[in-house]
Amino acid sequence: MQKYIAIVEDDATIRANYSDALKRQGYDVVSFASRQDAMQIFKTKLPDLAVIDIWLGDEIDGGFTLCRELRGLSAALPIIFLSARDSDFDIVAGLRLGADDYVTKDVSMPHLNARIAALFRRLDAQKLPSRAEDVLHRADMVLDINRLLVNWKNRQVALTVTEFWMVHALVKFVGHVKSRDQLMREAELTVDDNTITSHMKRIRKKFETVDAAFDHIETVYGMGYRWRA
Amino acid sequence: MPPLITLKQFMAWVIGGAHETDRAWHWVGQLIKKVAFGQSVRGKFVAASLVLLLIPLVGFMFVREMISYLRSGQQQIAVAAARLVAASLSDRPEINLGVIAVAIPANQIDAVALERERIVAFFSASDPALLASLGDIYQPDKQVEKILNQSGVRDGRIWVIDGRGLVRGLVGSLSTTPNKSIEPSMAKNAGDGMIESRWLSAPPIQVLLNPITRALMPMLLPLAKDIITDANTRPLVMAQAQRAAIGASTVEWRVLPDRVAVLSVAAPVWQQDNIVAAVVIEETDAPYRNLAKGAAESVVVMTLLLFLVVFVFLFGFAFRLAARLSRLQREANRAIDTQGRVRGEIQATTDRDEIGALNETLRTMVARQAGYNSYLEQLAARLSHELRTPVAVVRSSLDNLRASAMSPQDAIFLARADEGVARLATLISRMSEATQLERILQGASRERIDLAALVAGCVAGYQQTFVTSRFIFTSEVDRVEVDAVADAVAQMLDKLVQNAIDFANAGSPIVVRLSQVADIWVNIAVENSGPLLPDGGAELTLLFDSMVSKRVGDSDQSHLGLGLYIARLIAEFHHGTISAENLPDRSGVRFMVTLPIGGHAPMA
Repeated sequence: MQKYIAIVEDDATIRANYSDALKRQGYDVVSFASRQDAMQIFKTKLPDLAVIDIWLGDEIDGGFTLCRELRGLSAALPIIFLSARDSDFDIVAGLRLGADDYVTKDVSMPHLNARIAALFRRLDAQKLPSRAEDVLHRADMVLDINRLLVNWKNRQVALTVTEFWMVHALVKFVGHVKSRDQLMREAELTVDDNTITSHMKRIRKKFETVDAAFDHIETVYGMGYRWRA
Repeated sequence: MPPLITLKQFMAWVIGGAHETDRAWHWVGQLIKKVAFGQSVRGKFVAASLVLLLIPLVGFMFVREMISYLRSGQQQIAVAAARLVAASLSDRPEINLGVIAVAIPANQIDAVALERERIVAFFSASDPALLASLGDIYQPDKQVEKILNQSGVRDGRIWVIDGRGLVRGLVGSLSTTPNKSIEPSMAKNAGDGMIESRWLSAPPIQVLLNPITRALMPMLLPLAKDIITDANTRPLVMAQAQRAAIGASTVEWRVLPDRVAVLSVAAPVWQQDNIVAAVVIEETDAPYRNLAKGAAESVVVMTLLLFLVVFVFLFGFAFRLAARLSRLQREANRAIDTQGRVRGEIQATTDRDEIGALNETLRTMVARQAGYNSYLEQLAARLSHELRTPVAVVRSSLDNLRASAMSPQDAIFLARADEGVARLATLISRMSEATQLERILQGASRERIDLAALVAGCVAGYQQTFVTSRFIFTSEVDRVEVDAVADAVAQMLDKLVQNAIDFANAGSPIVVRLSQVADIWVNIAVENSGPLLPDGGAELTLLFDSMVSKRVGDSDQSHLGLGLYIARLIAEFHHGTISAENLPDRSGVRFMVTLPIGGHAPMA
């Protein structure tokens, strides 16, 4: 069945480019220029995935509002924020509103595609039983690569797709230092070192909400990060 | 008017010797220059308040004027009194002055009676010493002395001298008043009718005042004549009497050894058309002296009080003015640092005077500067945000283009376009890095970290990452703990090392040094050989500003000059400083970050 993706973006060129690119990937794409237009359609028919810009026309935080409204309609609908804003504050705010991922507008189409594909895979995989060969066990951690799920001490850690890939890169080889560049490649990101730092910070915090004593991600200054067994 | 001594003469008198005087004069000049034209508003006010010294001068001039009026009044009264006494003696048949003297020979005078009269007069006289000195020429006449006693002249001495030079009457004395009235104990009754403050005569105040008034008195009561002794008075009186005997009324001022002035007035006594005797009235100026002394004391005390009050007022005023100005200066200094960055703000003031206006002007100025600075610093962030959308347009277009069919030639161009966009994207990311950093630092919590281990780890990491460069790490200390945000410190080091790599000569090592200054500071220095920095402080500090790149390197990296700016932000967040200098041997440059070990800036 063809997936139905909604793009909400006020810049006509980007809107057209993204919808073309996603259509080429075989998705059914509908694009909207404003929050109101999008909401009108969403009320009758929900998309399978939404890509939302934060700044929509006159509304500086229109994307955030839309995300909240959309979450009200569906708890499971994957939402990706696509924004020119790359401040930590915006990222945290977006993710807190229930978005599944947050990418800046200089993301390349393959990177965006990878994220969309991963989110769909996670959505589908949740309906399937997990396959043993796709599960990594690291001490108290269970990492289901197929379903993009992480459990720590039998409790699920709510990681975004980007974060999951980073954790995966770290735990694949326990004790090995992963440089920021490597993490970036693994997470299909093109961002600066700072963004990696704040991603790692958020990942640590998410693990800490599950287990306050969590300290397995170690910073190796000048080099990168390491998963400590 | 006595000659007013100049300040210079006064100094010469105080110090003695012209050479010393010149030196002292020079010193005084320097002092005046320093105080009056120096740095301090307070000093200028104090100098200006010296103008108040004119007040005592004017006061003394006034007192002197007053005294001179009083003296001329005294003189007129004395002349009138002398005439009155002379008139009361004139044409009295019962008084036989010259006439009797002519008609009755001296030997016919009842010698016994005369002698008795003399003895009686001698004992009743107020000035026995004078009477004694007169000897035989004192031939008192009962009638005359009776009239003299009735004349009411008390503050002096009245002589009646007949044509033969015999003293026919002598009443009163000069000696009682002058000497004693100068004494402090007498000052009280002497100053009758004046502004008399009881506390002025209190002993401690008198002890202070006496030397002053004593020194001032000669100036207040100018004495023109030579000093004569009391014993010399008689011939002068006789001379005056002789002049009066030929009809000339004279007025004379004499001075006694104790500097008491004596007014002497002579008037002729007429009998029909003949001058038979002369009346001479002598008066001291003692009452006026006391008046002058009292006035001088009042002037001195009033002046001192006034001076004190005005001085305190002026000083307080100057102090407040200076305090306000220096507060403003301090705030202005603190508001903008040496690199022109706004560090604080100037407090608003409610004062509506010129200083208040200046305060307000400076405040707006600093606020505008702050606004402009933050605009500049935000510029990078805004640019990065605004540029990201067109970059997204280009990138997504290129991605779409790649998906469509294209020739190998197209693929090459596409790859080049991709490269360009990638570079643009990196630049944009770097531009926003600085703004993001500030947010990150604000939210970050500091912890106690071992800087030595951190720097060592970082350098080891750099060696792995930058395989083409060689790193040397030297540390004076094994362990140095600071309160810091570890990630940020590592990021700062990243920037410094990246900067060093960009400018280092190929093959030359990059040296990272860690050293400790006492227990207060820790220095992290990153050195590389390569192009030098421009000499001159102002330009060097600009290095750490946003979007400034001072060296021309052959690096293929794009430079926005943001790395050092980020390093500066991190150093300053940790209350540290960052500086750049050329190495002493001018082979390269050194960037140094100094962080306080305590975690906050020590009072150094």
